Amino acid sequence: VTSPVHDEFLAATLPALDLVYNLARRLVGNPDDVEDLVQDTYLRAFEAWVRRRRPRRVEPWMATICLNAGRSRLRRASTTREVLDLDEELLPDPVSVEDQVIEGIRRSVVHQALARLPNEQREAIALMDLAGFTASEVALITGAPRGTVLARVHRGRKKLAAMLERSPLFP
Amino acid sequence: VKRHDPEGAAARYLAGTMTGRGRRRFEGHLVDCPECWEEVRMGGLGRSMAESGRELAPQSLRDRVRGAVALARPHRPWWRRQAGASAAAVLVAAVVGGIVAGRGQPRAIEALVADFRGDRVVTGPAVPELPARVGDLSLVDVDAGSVEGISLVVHRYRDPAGQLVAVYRGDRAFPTARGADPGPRPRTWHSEVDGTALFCADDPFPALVIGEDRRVVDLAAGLLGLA
Repeated sequence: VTSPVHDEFLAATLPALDLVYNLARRLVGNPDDVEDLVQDTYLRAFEAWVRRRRPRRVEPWMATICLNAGRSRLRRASTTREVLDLDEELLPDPVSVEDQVIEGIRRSVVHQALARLPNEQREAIALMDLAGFTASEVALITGAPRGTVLARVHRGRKKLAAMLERSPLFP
Repeated sequence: VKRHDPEGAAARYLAGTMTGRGRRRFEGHLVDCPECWEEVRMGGLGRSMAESGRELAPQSLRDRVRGAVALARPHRPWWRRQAGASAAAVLVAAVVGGIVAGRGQPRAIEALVADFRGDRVVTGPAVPELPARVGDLSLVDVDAGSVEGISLVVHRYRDPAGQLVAVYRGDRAFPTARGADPGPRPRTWHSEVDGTALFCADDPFPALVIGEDRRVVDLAAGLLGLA
């Protein structure tokens, strides 16, 4: 039994969970940290919701909160590389590749490649290609000019393509 | 004279931010410019690779978020807390009214005794706040909910003999059961309602412990530092 405010908040924001999850996955590397970041995002959003700070559109609002919370975590970690290296265990073992898990492996490989991009490019790609925001929306969320967002996402995509182009997973 | 900018043009083209005329002109240019063609090819390839990395959030995470939000008690500024205190005074009056109108016990006590006896009213998802083992007691399940204006989390434990004991942790003090005896410490009390044993304390957190056996209730309260 929860209050109407809890129910209203969850009804409005839970549809954005996949978006927040995809963003969190690209902001921190360790799976436990990802879940902590998603939960932290929802609790921060709920605090704001209770104080009547309700957004016109939930998705960019949740993405902004997640981004800020993720950046705080990265600042607290000694280096970004340390955080992302924890995810190495997610690298698939090539010997274990089976048809039914190729999709999962492909996602894992993309995740690893994204982790090697500079933070700003990874954020821009996560927001545009994984969360589906437009360049103008990403500009509002990140506070960067739209032209800068376009440049970051394009350079990130090119690096990603260069890293994975020869992989048999992406014929 | 416009500067030749393959990277910027490819980025705008792929983002769909070019005007219709600009787009047609750029597409015409692509045929004759290997540099721009390569920029568009690599940018498009990278985009489709990135998009293939989309994932659905696991169901366990969805449950965890629901539980965490259900338990969230927002921090309020002092003036709202002040208003909350006034509201609490009204609530106390309402609970006292509940004694008169009800079957002899405050409604919250009646509801929680009923919950303990299986007529569940506290059923929302929750994450544990108390230890999984308290002495010989093992945690069976955890739920959250709200009863008569008290937000609470219940931890249900069983002892090795199968006796059930529930610890209701509230966000404010529970009303005193009618006919309760003072407990071993200030602001604690014991009672028996409909054949169940109750122990209540305000510190270190508002808690109502309900069990089938007074001995198990006292044991749980002692181990949790309530008695």
